[in-house]
Amino acid sequence: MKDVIIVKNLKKNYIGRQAVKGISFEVHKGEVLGLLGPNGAGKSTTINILANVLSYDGGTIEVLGHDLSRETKAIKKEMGIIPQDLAIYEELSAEENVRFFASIYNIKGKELDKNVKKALESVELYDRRNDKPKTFSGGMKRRLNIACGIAHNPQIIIMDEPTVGIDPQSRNHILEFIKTLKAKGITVIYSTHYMEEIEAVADRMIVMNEGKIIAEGTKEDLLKKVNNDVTYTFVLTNLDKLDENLILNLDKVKKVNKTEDLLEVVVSETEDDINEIVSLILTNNCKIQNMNRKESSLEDIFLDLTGRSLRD
Amino acid sequence: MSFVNIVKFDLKNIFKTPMLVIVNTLEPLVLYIILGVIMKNKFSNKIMSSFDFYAVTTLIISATMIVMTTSNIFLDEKVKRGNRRVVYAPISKGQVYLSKLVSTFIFAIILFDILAFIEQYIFKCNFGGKNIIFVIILIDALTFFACSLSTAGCCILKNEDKVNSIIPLITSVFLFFSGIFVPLGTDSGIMKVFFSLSPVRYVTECSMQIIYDNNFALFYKTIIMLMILSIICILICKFTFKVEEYVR
Repeated sequence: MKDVIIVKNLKKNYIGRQAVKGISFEVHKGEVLGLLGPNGAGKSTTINILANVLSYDGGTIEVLGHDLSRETKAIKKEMGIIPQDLAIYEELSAEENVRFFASIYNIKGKELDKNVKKALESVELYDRRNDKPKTFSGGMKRRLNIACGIAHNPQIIIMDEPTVGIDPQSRNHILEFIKTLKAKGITVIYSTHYMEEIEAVADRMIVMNEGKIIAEGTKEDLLKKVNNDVTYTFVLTNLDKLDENLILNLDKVKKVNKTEDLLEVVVSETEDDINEIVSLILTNNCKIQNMNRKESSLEDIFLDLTGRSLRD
Repeated sequence: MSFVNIVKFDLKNIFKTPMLVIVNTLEPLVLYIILGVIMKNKFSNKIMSSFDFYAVTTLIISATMIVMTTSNIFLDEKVKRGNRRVVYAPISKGQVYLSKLVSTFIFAIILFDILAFIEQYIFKCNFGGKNIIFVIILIDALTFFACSLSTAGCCILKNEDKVNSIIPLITSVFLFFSGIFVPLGTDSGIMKVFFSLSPVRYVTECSMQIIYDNNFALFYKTIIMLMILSIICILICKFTFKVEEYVR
């Protein structure tokens, strides 16, 4: 698979603080790469460096075969940036906004008309093209922000937390839109601290914390790297009659937690274990009223890797 | 081409902002009428009426105070949001601040030049008859310097409120030492130094010499001085404008 972005040993220092500590990664052509991490992890710094608005102190970056430190114009032409803060003119209509931002990429005439229409249609704002963004909802403004970043038909799109503070409907729309970009073969770097969004759209993810990449790969890859635990929660009657040490002694059982009528058993993934646990519960005169199985989520992976919650 | 597009767009934006158009058209006109009426008795009317004097000087004042318009289109939060995206486009960082400077300059000279022609040919004020073109060139050069000064202020201070507190203060000092508002003696040593530091004084003096004496002795010197000062301001922008601070 061809790499459209190759980052090697990237470093960025601010006064008294190293924001990015020598990270290296590649972005494959046509993939959606999720960039995940809590606030202050170095995601936005990395994105701003790739977007060419922030200088860097060490390392090399190659985008579509061009050196980022020297061939900035060639790279900028092929990149669409959707910044976290809305970058639109509130006093101009939606169409005027998109038209202007496409025109500064030297797109003109019929091609400009076509691109503006396509960009507005793709975010479902074409019917509102003559309205000013100040009359839009938060979600609509975010969608317009996206249209402004894609109207010049970039090969690579970088999205920095594009769903912050919007309604679920607009969020779903944006996530669906990313899937259509992927289907067209456009490479997307998607930065967020919403785990469920990464799970919904990303082919691969990079987990950042304190300026470093702490994990990289598909969700399955990451699950293999960290604990692969399954947590069973039972609602039981006569739970007081059950000695939890009996369950804890079972092979692969890592943890047992007993509270009133709830029994929580953490096992290191295998389907057979549940049978042994259930039979032990039943032979101890307990009745199972309800049962729940929960696998490790990306949120758990992140907690496991960093000791921090993503939204910290 | 991108640069031209940005300038055109900024220009359209300024003309769409009623406050900026009013400040740069009605204000000099109203000021000219009020001062012309109030100061009527102070002028002999034989050589120069109060209206003749204030028609020229209110335009010089407006040209100097264009600094507020530049800072507005460069740093006003509403406009800055959209401007942030401009830096993602394949343009050089110099084009970002130069586009603001050039668009404000074009906006200002369109309005001020029209006002000068209206005042000479409709209100019959004296702009030097055929020499009006040279007076306009002087005012335009001063406008360019004021736009450059404000752009440099924006690049250094990075905050509209700070720019609007400090830069107009500097231009007010220039205006004070120009003698436009109050006639000031030029003989005493220290005052002479202050007067000589005000570019507005040279523009005022030169304009009056052209209008009333057909004397162009100061014309090229004044233009060259204003251009040098503008270039210094643009060089300051070159070294102080940081894209990363602008998008933050």
